[in-house]
Amino acid sequence: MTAYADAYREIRSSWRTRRTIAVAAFAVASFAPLVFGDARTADLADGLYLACAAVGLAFAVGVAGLPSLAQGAFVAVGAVTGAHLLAAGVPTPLAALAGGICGGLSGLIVGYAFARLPRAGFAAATWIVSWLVAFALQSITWFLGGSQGIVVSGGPTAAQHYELALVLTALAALGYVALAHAPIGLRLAAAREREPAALALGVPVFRLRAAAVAVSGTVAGVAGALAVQLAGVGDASQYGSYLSFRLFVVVLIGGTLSPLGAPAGMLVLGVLSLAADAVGRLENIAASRAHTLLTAVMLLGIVSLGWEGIVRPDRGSRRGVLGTGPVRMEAATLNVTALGKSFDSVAAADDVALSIEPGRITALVGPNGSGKTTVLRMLAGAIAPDRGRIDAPAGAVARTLQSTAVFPTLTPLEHILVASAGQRARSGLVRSLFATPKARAEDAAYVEHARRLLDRFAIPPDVPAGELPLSDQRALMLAAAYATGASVLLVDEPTAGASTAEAGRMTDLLRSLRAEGLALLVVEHNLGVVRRLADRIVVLDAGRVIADGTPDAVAADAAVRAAYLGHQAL
Amino acid sequence: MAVALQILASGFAAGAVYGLVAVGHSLVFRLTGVVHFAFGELIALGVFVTLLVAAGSGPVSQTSVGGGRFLLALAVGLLVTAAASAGAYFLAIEPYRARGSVIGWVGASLAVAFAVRTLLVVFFDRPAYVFPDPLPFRRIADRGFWHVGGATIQVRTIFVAAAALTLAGLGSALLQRTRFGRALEAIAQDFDAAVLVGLPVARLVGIAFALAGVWAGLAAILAAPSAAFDVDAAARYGLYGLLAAAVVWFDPRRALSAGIALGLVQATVTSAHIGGFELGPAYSDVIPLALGLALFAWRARSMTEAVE
Amino acid sequence: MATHREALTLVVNAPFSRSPYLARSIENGVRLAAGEVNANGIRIGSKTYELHVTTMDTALSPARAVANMRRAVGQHAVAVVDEGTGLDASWRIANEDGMPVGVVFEGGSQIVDPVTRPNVFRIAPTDHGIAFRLAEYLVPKGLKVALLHDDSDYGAAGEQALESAFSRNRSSVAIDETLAADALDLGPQVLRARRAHATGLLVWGRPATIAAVLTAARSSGWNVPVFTPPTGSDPFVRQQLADNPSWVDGLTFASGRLTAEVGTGPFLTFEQKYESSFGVDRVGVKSGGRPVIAPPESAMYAYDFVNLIAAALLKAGSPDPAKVTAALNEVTTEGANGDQRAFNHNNHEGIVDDDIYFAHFRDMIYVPVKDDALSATLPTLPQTR
Repeated sequence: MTAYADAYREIRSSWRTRRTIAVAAFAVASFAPLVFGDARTADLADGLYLACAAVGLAFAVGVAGLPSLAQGAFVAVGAVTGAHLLAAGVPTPLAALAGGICGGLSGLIVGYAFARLPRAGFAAATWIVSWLVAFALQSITWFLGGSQGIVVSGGPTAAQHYELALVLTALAALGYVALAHAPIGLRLAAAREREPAALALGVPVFRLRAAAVAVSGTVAGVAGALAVQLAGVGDASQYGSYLSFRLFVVVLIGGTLSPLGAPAGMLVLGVLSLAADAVGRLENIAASRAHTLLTAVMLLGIVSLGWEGIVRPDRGSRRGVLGTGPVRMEAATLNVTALGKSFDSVAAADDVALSIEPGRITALVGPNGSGKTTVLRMLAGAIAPDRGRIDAPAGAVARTLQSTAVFPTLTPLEHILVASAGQRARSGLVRSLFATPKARAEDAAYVEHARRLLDRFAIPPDVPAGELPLSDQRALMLAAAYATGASVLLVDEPTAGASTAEAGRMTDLLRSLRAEGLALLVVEHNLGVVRRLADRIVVLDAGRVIADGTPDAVAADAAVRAAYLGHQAL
Repeated sequence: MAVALQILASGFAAGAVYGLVAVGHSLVFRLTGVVHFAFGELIALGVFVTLLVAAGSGPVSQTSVGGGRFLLALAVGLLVTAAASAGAYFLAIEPYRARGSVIGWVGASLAVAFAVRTLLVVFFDRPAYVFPDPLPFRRIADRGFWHVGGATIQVRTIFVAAAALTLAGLGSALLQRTRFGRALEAIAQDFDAAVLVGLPVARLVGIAFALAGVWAGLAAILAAPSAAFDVDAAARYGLYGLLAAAVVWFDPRRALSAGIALGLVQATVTSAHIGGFELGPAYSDVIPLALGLALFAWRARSMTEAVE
Repeated sequence: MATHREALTLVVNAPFSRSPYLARSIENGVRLAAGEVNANGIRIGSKTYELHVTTMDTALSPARAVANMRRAVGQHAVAVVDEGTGLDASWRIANEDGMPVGVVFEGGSQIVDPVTRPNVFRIAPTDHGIAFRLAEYLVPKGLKVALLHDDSDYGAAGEQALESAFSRNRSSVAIDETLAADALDLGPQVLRARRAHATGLLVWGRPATIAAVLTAARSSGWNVPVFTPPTGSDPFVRQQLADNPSWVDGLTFASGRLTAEVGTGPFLTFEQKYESSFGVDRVGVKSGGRPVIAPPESAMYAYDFVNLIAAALLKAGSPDPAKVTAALNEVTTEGANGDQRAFNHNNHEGIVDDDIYFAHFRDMIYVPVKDDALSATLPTLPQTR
């Protein structure tokens, strides 16, 4: 009971007017079968199943940032599964579940196959997938029975399907909210905004993207299986590439970053179909052609106006409560021996050896092109070395990027939650979807921890990171790397572009981290900062270590001076 | 042997057209990072405008168009394709590409594709069209057919393959040996740097879009009289061209070969009998697409490095 | 003083967006008949009714056909004239209201069954009838026939019908091949048929497939006879082969008889009415220097069904669809071509299988063959203007 009471209080405290409107709209919509006849109710139910599938797509497109054009294919997979099972007499709920499972598996396969691609490539791949499925359904009559289709008789009435579709759409929207709010959604959003930075924070980007596509496929599969029963016939021609386009349009029109966007988009498309009927009659064009044309023209108009969708995103608040937050890994030393990496015939790193010890700051310096960033990327695991060894406990190393790479629309609080998500025990897909009491309690504890961390780093928690001054952004990158719980931090040019005061802030932060016992490797061009900060300096030139010692020893090294061509003395 | 020769000839011809479309896709992608989803439909637009000017929109027979009228129709069709391609770039793609909005240009290019396709189907609503063939193939060999090794091969099939390869060669020469081509290469290597050094990037890319449409459109128009033609057939060139380009990750130098390979696979699946076993036409789209996607997925495995 | 008339909705459920020529032919036939009926109206009791025609596009999609049927029921339509796509699913919805459905194109045998589907009627040649007549015509010729069908739904249905028709004469079948409906080149498949020593080709597919097979065969110098179902008469075949008119010569197709035993008069009258209302359908080729036209075959079947509906309304004495369905089993009308059209409780097929005839092309127009008993009695329709 306490858990339910907590949940109720939480919902009540975060309630907004738009949620009241949404609930009211759903409630009013539930009376539609009383007003409309069977045919119209069936049309509305079909539209709602599509809206449900579109909510699933909105998760992949909006939260994960994946331009998925295969949602129609996943609906088709669900429909084929549903049609065969229903025709064989399997009860509707089981057929729907099977459709969801098959749709989810298809999504998982597509996600795993193509989630590594850049977004343009992902769009191309999923577009081809949608055509493949369409051709398979049309050519191989076993799937959906050729021109007569597979007849699916019996089952709920049109009105019952309507209510079921309404409930499913509402549940899909709630699922969207739960997942978008949860660590999985935050990490996907981070990867959407800046994939390299997300990878640097240990976000398993490709796995999560595959999961996002699987989630969208599952929702589509359920919708497809039920829609085919409503239609009374499994019909291959309904699952062409136009279905994927239509779902994509619905999501874009309604808004990709809100769970209510897809239903709103479907409503617009429904109104459009009435207009299409009128245009069709006027111009003696078949209504389906007019509908396609109007949909395409409308989408062109909407994207050309820079429209972001009818329903704007709603950033919910996050409650923090003291509890068990993230735990730091044990202090560890990162040892590197004989590390080497070549790109074509150029040796970017050659026989590099160094040791990054707890409670010490090691600076890695060298002229431009000396291989510092390559070494850093190898130590972080971003690229594989050609030879040599890197000894460090798994997950003990975190890195900041050279460029200022925050996630512009995420708040600093959300940055820290993304970084610390890897340590959570209750942030899996199912727990996130159902927002279990333990998952919410863990979330509250992590939120509180994040607020305290941001307080320590003097970063405002609730402003979108893109609006923060540069120094706050650099500090945020460091805070996020720290929040991963890593005991070894690789910091790439923390004072780049900073004023003296800003550089001082960063060096103070680094010293505080050293005092905590972290092992720090700092790549820096500002030799004054290096001199003041580092316990040890490693100098690279043309990929090789030419000096490794205390700041005084390195400053006196003739080879170091020669490498810098006397431009700047340590 | 005879069947194999016919498969080779028909597969090579279709594949060469796919390859040329794939080169167009690759060029567009290299320049802008955009996948041109409307490419097939814009090619179809060119083909049908040519048909409209040459023979109207009523019933058509292959004898009804003279050489002069056909040339005029061809010029108009290619001009429309060029204008539509460039227009699609400036209006529907560039605004989103510039903002880095992938979702935006994906939506916009798809919208262009469906808008063009639907317009074509509204005006050209017959299930198939006969495309006029002004070239005198009937006077070559045995009324336009060569008999080789027991196989009968349309002269026009060889012509289509040769024309597509020639166009690919000319396109390659244009890109590698002209100032225009070098400018495009600079843009492909670093868009922002090209802007900084003063190249009229937007204009050059618009011209490249137009040329890509014209090149591929010309190949499609040359292939059209080979058989019954409809809007879907032209749109499929875009799909197969995209698949061929994607498999080689939009490398223009390999896109043509990928297209030809795709055409050969398709012809083999459709027509080959091995022992008593045949896959048959039911799989003529499914198998090539599935194989191509599998290859694409294999390539995707190596794409682990995100650009910082 | 004009008598007030109540409207009775008559729905045309056809693929307007995907097969506009066929769909418009059906619609035109319905409108022509409805216009004639409405001239006097349908007097039932004290009320006079007239038929209002509504069209719905199936886009060749069974799901859309089902949705359209729901809409038709919702609009309290008195009957539906249907091209046939999706009937296996949609008939049930019409049957809940007892609404009669008249199929005027699809020929699949499972579509019509007076016992299990009492509200479904057909006026169109059946695939079964065409396939069996083809077998009956070809087997005695001693030909070794290559059965070529495309992978369209039409071709797949034809494959089943041919398999049944030739099941007792497999020795007459040289080879059975599936062709890609949208293939650019059917050379390899035709070559295989030749290598199987076929002495005749039976091509069951869309017009484009038939044209492609003819091209592949004739171009290689293989002048074997080619036989087809009604799609062989589609204008597209002649358009595609206009460059080589001699390749069309001898192409033989099976179709429902356009004229009746009483002669060509009734059909020509119908054709005249049709052309006055909707214009002439030009093929685009010439014969003897004159433009060739296509006779309105599909329109005729739709026209006949509407007339049967009108008669059934009068017989039923009520616009109630269920009563109209029952009455359809008891009325007879004269068809557009002069034949009597009627159904009964045991038979809902308006075209008898025996009424399939054969015609072959000569100089771009078709002429009934002389080596078939029925066909030899039929006149050649004027096909030029």
